[in-house]
Amino acid sequence: MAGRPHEDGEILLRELGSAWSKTQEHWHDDMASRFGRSHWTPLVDESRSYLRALGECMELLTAAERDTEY
Amino acid sequence: MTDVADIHADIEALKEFAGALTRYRHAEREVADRGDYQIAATRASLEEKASQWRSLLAQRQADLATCQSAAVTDGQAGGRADCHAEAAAVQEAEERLESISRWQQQVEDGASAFLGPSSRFRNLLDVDLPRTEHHLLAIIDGLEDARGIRAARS
Repeated sequence: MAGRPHEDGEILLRELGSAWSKTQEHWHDDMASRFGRSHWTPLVDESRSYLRALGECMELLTAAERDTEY
Repeated sequence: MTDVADIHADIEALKEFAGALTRYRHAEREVADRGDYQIAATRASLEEKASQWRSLLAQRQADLATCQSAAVTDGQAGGRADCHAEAAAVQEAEERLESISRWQQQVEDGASAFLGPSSRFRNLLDVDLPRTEHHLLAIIDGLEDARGIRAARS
Protein backbone atom coordinates (compact mmCIF):
# COMPACT_ATOMS: atom_id res chain seq x y z
CA MET A 1 0.00 0.00 0.00
CA ALA A 2 1.37 3.39 -0.91
CA GLY A 3 -1.63 5.72 -0.99
CA ARG A 4 -2.48 8.33 1.59
CA PRO A 5 -2.33 6.75 5.07
CA HIS A 6 -5.97 7.34 6.04
CA GLU A 7 -7.22 6.02 2.70
CA ASP A 8 -5.11 2.88 3.07
CA GLY A 9 -6.39 2.53 6.63
CA GLU A 10 -9.98 2.72 5.42
CA ILE A 11 -9.30 0.01 2.83
CA LEU A 12 -7.86 -2.20 5.59
CA LEU A 13 -10.93 -1.61 7.77
CA ARG A 14 -13.26 -2.47 4.88
CA GLU A 15 -11.29 -5.68 4.25
CA LEU A 16 -11.55 -6.60 7.91
CA GLY A 17 -15.28 -5.85 7.76
CA SER A 18 -15.62 -8.30 4.87
CA ALA A 19 -13.71 -10.92 6.87
CA TRP A 20 -16.08 -10.37 9.81
CA SER A 21 -19.14 -10.70 7.55
CA LYS A 22 -17.80 -14.02 6.21
CA THR A 23 -17.16 -15.18 9.76
CA GLN A 24 -20.73 -14.32 10.76
CA GLU A 25 -22.04 -16.62 8.02
CA HIS A 26 -20.65 -19.53 10.05
CA TRP A 27 -20.68 -18.15 13.58
CA HIS A 28 -23.97 -16.81 14.86
CA ASP A 29 -24.54 -18.09 18.38
CA ASP A 30 -24.73 -16.11 21.65
CA MET A 31 -20.95 -16.09 21.89
CA ALA A 32 -20.77 -14.45 18.47
CA SER A 33 -23.25 -11.77 19.58
CA ARG A 34 -21.23 -11.08 22.71
CA PHE A 35 -18.02 -10.93 20.67
CA GLY A 36 -19.67 -8.51 18.28
CA ARG A 37 -20.82 -6.20 21.06
CA SER A 38 -17.74 -6.27 23.25
CA HIS A 39 -14.93 -6.58 20.68
CA TRP A 40 -15.98 -5.97 17.09
CA THR A 41 -18.11 -2.83 17.52
CA PRO A 42 -15.55 -0.98 19.71
CA LEU A 43 -12.79 -1.96 17.27
CA VAL A 44 -14.69 -0.53 14.32
CA ASP A 45 -15.77 2.62 16.19
CA GLU A 46 -12.25 3.38 17.41
CA SER A 47 -10.74 2.66 13.99
CA ARG A 48 -13.25 4.93 12.23
CA SER A 49 -12.69 7.70 14.75
CA TYR A 50 -8.93 7.49 14.27
CA LEU A 51 -9.07 7.33 10.47
CA ARG A 52 -11.40 10.34 10.36
CA ALA A 53 -8.97 12.32 12.55
CA LEU A 54 -6.02 11.11 10.46
CA GLY A 55 -7.78 12.20 7.27
CA GLU A 56 -8.44 15.67 8.67
CA CYS A 57 -4.83 15.94 9.78
CA MET A 58 -3.52 14.83 6.35
CA GLU A 59 -5.76 17.42 4.63
CA LEU A 60 -4.30 20.10 6.88
CA LEU A 61 -0.73 19.02 6.13
CA THR A 62 -1.41 19.00 2.38
CA ALA A 63 -2.91 22.50 2.55
CA ALA A 64 0.06 23.74 4.60
CA GLU A 65 2.56 22.39 2.06
CA ARG A 66 0.55 23.69 -0.91
CA ASP A 67 0.00 27.20 0.48
CA THR A 68 3.64 27.69 1.44
CA GLU A 69 5.01 26.50 -1.91
CA TYR A 70 6.34 29.79 -3.33
CA MET B 1 -26.79 -34.11 4.87
CA THR B 2 -24.11 -32.53 7.05
CA ASP B 3 -20.52 -33.61 6.63
CA VAL B 4 -17.56 -33.08 8.95
CA ALA B 5 -16.40 -30.03 7.01
CA ASP B 6 -19.75 -28.29 7.62
CA ILE B 7 -19.64 -29.09 11.33
CA HIS B 8 -16.24 -27.47 11.68
CA ALA B 9 -16.85 -24.57 9.29
CA ASP B 10 -17.32 -22.16 12.19
CA ILE B 11 -13.93 -23.10 13.65
CA GLU B 12 -12.21 -22.57 10.30
CA ALA B 13 -14.04 -19.25 9.86
CA LEU B 14 -12.93 -18.15 13.33
CA LYS B 15 -9.34 -19.12 12.58
CA GLU B 16 -9.42 -17.11 9.36
CA PHE B 17 -10.89 -14.14 11.19
CA ALA B 18 -8.23 -14.37 13.91
CA GLY B 19 -5.61 -14.24 11.16
CA ALA B 20 -7.35 -11.25 9.57
CA LEU B 21 -7.30 -9.42 12.91
CA THR B 22 -3.56 -10.02 13.26
CA ARG B 23 -2.90 -8.77 9.73
CA TYR B 24 -5.10 -5.74 10.39
CA ARG B 25 -3.17 -4.91 13.56
CA HIS B 26 0.19 -4.98 11.75
CA ALA B 27 -1.02 -3.10 8.67
CA GLU B 28 -2.81 -0.37 10.65
CA ARG B 29 0.27 0.11 12.80
CA GLU B 30 2.16 0.86 9.60
CA VAL B 31 -0.59 3.31 8.60
CA ALA B 32 -0.31 5.03 11.99
CA ASP B 33 3.49 5.22 11.64
CA ARG B 34 3.12 6.80 8.21
CA GLY B 35 0.64 9.31 9.60
CA ASP B 36 3.05 10.30 12.37
CA TYR B 37 5.89 10.50 9.84
CA GLN B 38 3.83 12.86 7.63
CA ILE B 39 3.27 15.21 10.56
CA ALA B 40 6.99 15.24 11.38
CA ALA B 41 7.90 15.71 7.70
CA THR B 42 5.54 18.68 7.30
CA ARG B 43 6.83 20.28 10.50
CA ALA B 44 10.39 19.94 9.19
CA SER B 45 9.43 21.20 5.74
CA LEU B 46 7.70 24.30 7.15
CA GLU B 47 10.66 25.02 9.41
CA GLU B 48 13.00 24.71 6.43
CA LYS B 49 10.85 27.12 4.41
CA ALA B 50 10.71 29.56 7.34
CA SER B 51 14.49 29.39 7.65
CA GLN B 52 14.96 30.09 3.93
CA TRP B 53 12.57 33.07 4.03
CA ARG B 54 14.22 34.44 7.17
CA SER B 55 17.56 34.41 5.31
CA LEU B 56 15.94 36.01 2.25
CA LEU B 57 14.30 38.66 4.44
CA ALA B 58 17.63 39.55 6.05
CA GLN B 59 19.27 39.75 2.62
CA ARG B 60 16.46 41.90 1.20
CA GLN B 61 16.47 44.17 4.24
CA ALA B 62 20.20 44.67 3.70
CA ASP B 63 19.58 45.41 0.01
CA LEU B 64 16.90 47.94 0.95
CA ALA B 65 19.20 49.62 3.50
CA THR B 66 21.95 49.85 0.87
CA CYS B 67 19.48 51.35 -1.62
CA GLN B 68 18.12 53.84 0.90
CA SER B 69 21.64 54.86 1.84
CA ALA B 70 22.43 55.38 -1.84
CA ALA B 71 19.20 57.38 -2.20
CA VAL B 72 20.33 59.76 0.52
CA THR B 73 23.72 60.21 -1.20
CA ASP B 74 22.05 60.62 -4.62
CA GLY B 75 19.57 63.10 -3.17
CA GLN B 76 22.39 65.19 -1.79
CA ALA B 77 23.93 65.09 -5.26
CA GLY B 78 20.62 66.11 -6.83
CA GLY B 79 19.78 62.61 -8.12
CA ARG B 80 16.90 60.31 -7.15
CA ALA B 81 17.38 56.61 -6.33
CA ASP B 82 14.30 54.36 -6.58
CA CYS B 83 14.04 51.74 -3.79
CA HIS B 84 10.48 50.57 -4.51
CA ALA B 85 11.61 47.19 -5.82
CA GLU B 86 13.75 46.55 -2.74
CA ALA B 87 10.92 47.62 -0.42
CA ALA B 88 8.45 45.37 -2.26
CA ALA B 89 10.88 42.45 -1.98
CA VAL B 90 11.16 43.02 1.78
CA GLN B 91 7.38 43.18 2.10
CA GLU B 92 6.99 39.96 0.10
CA ALA B 93 9.47 38.13 2.35
CA GLU B 94 7.69 39.42 5.49
CA GLU B 95 4.29 38.31 4.20
CA ARG B 96 5.53 34.85 3.25
CA LEU B 97 7.22 34.42 6.61
CA GLU B 98 3.98 35.43 8.34
CA SER B 99 2.02 32.97 6.20
CA ILE B 100 4.44 30.13 6.99
CA SER B 101 4.28 31.02 10.67
CA ARG B 102 0.45 30.90 10.60
CA TRP B 103 0.58 27.49 8.91
CA GLN B 104 3.10 26.26 11.47
CA GLN B 105 0.67 27.22 14.22
CA GLN B 106 -2.25 25.56 12.43
CA VAL B 107 -0.22 22.37 11.96
CA GLU B 108 0.67 22.39 15.68
CA ASP B 109 -3.03 22.84 16.57
CA GLY B 110 -4.00 20.04 14.18
CA ALA B 111 -1.29 17.74 15.53
CA SER B 112 -2.48 18.44 19.09
CA ALA B 113 -6.08 17.65 18.18
CA PHE B 114 -4.88 14.44 16.52
CA LEU B 115 -2.97 13.26 19.62
CA GLY B 116 -6.07 11.95 21.44
CA PRO B 117 -7.47 9.76 18.63
CA SER B 118 -3.93 8.67 17.72
CA SER B 119 -3.13 7.63 21.27
CA ARG B 120 -6.41 5.71 21.62
CA PHE B 121 -5.82 3.95 18.31
CA ARG B 122 -2.27 2.98 19.31
CA ASN B 123 -3.71 1.58 22.52
CA LEU B 124 -6.28 -0.35 20.51
CA LEU B 125 -3.53 -1.84 18.32
CA ASP B 126 -1.07 -2.55 21.13
CA VAL B 127 -3.40 -3.66 23.92
CA ASP B 128 -7.04 -4.23 22.96
CA LEU B 129 -6.56 -6.01 19.66
CA PRO B 130 -4.03 -8.58 20.95
CA ARG B 131 -6.48 -9.21 23.80
CA THR B 132 -9.29 -9.73 21.27
CA GLU B 133 -7.12 -12.12 19.29
CA HIS B 134 -6.33 -14.11 22.46
CA HIS B 135 -10.02 -14.19 23.31
CA LEU B 136 -10.85 -15.50 19.85
CA LEU B 137 -8.14 -18.17 20.06
CA ALA B 138 -9.54 -19.24 23.43
CA ILE B 139 -12.98 -19.59 21.85
CA ILE B 140 -11.46 -21.67 19.04
CA ASP B 141 -9.65 -23.87 21.58
CA GLY B 142 -12.88 -24.27 23.52
CA LEU B 143 -14.80 -25.32 20.41
CA GLU B 144 -12.08 -27.75 19.39
CA ASP B 145 -11.99 -29.24 22.89
CA ALA B 146 -15.75 -29.56 22.96
CA ARG B 147 -15.74 -31.40 19.66
CA GLY B 148 -12.72 -33.51 20.50
CA ILE B 149 -10.83 -32.19 17.50
CA ARG B 150 -7.59 -31.52 19.28
CA ALA B 151 -7.71 -34.87 21.06
CA ALA B 152 -8.36 -36.58 17.77
CA ARG B 153 -5.57 -34.64 16.08
CA SER B 154 -2.98 -35.47 18.70
